[in-house]
Amino acid sequence: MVTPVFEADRLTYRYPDGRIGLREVSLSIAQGESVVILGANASGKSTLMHLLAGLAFPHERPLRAFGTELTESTLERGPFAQSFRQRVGLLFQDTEAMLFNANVWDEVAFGPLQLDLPREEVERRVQEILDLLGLMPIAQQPPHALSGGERKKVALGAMLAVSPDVLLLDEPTGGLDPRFQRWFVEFAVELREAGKTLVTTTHDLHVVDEIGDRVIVLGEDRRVAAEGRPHALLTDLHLLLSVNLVHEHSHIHDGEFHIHPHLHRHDHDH
Amino acid sequence: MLPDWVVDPVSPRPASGRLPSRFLARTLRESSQLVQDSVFAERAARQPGFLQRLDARVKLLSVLGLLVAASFLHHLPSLWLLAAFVGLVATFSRVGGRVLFNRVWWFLPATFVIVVLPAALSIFTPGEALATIYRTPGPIAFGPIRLPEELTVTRQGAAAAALVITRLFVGVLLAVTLTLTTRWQELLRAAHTEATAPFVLILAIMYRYLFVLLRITDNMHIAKLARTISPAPRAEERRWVGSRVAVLFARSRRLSEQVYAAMLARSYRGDPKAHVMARFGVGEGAWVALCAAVGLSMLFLDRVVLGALLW
Repeated sequence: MVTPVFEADRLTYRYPDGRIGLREVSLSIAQGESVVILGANASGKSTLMHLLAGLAFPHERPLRAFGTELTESTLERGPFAQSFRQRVGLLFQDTEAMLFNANVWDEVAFGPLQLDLPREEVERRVQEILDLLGLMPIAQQPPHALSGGERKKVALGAMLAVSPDVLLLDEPTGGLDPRFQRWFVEFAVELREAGKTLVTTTHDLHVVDEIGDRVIVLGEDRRVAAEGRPHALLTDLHLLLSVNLVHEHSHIHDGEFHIHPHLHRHDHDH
Repeated sequence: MLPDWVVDPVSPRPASGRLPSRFLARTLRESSQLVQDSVFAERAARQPGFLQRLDARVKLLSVLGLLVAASFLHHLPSLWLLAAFVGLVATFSRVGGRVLFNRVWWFLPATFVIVVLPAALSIFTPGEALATIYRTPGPIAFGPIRLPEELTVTRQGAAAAALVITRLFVGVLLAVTLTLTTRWQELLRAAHTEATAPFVLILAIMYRYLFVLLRITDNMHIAKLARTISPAPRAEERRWVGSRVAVLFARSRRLSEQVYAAMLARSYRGDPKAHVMARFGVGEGAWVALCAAVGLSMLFLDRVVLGALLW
């Protein structure tokens, strides 16, 4: 049996102030799978991503990655810590925090440099990532001079430069224009076809079907509300209404996104 | 259902007659000025000038070399000549004289009061009196502090003070020329060595997030302005600034935790590494040779020629 990339059985996480971040969450993510974590605001999506990235740790019941329990001590030092950081990359929701270097070139080079790769290899990787994402013209720009879409691309490039097997993408299309959203979907599909494991959080229902093999829905009570194939979940109106992913006036209908006028007839058949 | 007072047309309240707080406006204007200055410096560093074309590390080392040479010069004419050389190079690098002067002058008043004035006085540098500040018939004592009967500006003191301030002027001129012709990130990269790596990383992150926090400050001010109908009392404005400082502190703390998490997620293990791309072409070679020639010529002029003439 192949060891899952991530495995959790009823894990619970509390924030430092005692509030519940996640409640009895169980999941299993296999190598090469593309999983979408769906949930409304404050349903614990980003918290779950931080747990999967080994930046926070559950308080009850363990979370395992590649068969090893993720704890502060296993990720502090040693061969597992280094291989885990290399194999798992996280795209932060807030790129302001992720882009801490002086310019785009340094940002992309940061990860490979921490891996002690030879100088030529670092330069080659940065060059190829900048070419791939079309960032070469802004290679010397500081982060504060970039647009939202450019920042997201730089953050994605910075993560890819370490060549992780598992990509954790926290709200990658949040607040960005349709052109970037389309670009991202196509890029995510390419990564999935290349065999990468993708875990993407979003509350944008438009992109789920295209990038996800499987969907995990988090409810507002911070528990897993449902899990299954994208089409089955996206057409379950009661589920989507109960987890605050659609409103009665706008929802997916017959596979299409459907918006009712605000004052609509109540005899409409859903 | 919207409350009536939301639906009803606005009936404007009479103005309070209070003037807006200058304290708040000035503080925010200065924070915006900092951003503008930095953008200006960045633009100056992108000009196609002489120094801008050179490698940052070569520039940094050559400026350090010239600073060492300046510290060995003991005569004012040689220091002035060195300052003229730096000014000439700055001109070829498209750094205007006014910009240079504006950036250099600010240190003069403080240096004059703290360093130059005391050094010129007879209590610190005894010697031939140039001007008498006071003379009393007997000693003056304020408790345990006893003042001398006579306080003068001495010739030796004035000469030493002039030397110190001119040397400092040359140093600041060199530093400003370097920073105006080199982009901040290149300068940081040039300063990166195994020993300096943690400091350089902290500086780079500080510089980066200074802008983020300034932007948040600006946004908070704009949001307040948008909802201010009549200016609040000054004490209230000061309280608001104080509370915003606390908010910014909390935000910067949270941001620093997120940045550290982002660094960890990209394999950072407490030992920062950076990639330094140095180049040493014909231009860099010519510049190093020019700096060496100027430095040695100034030392020769100072020690041999002026030393013999003024002995």
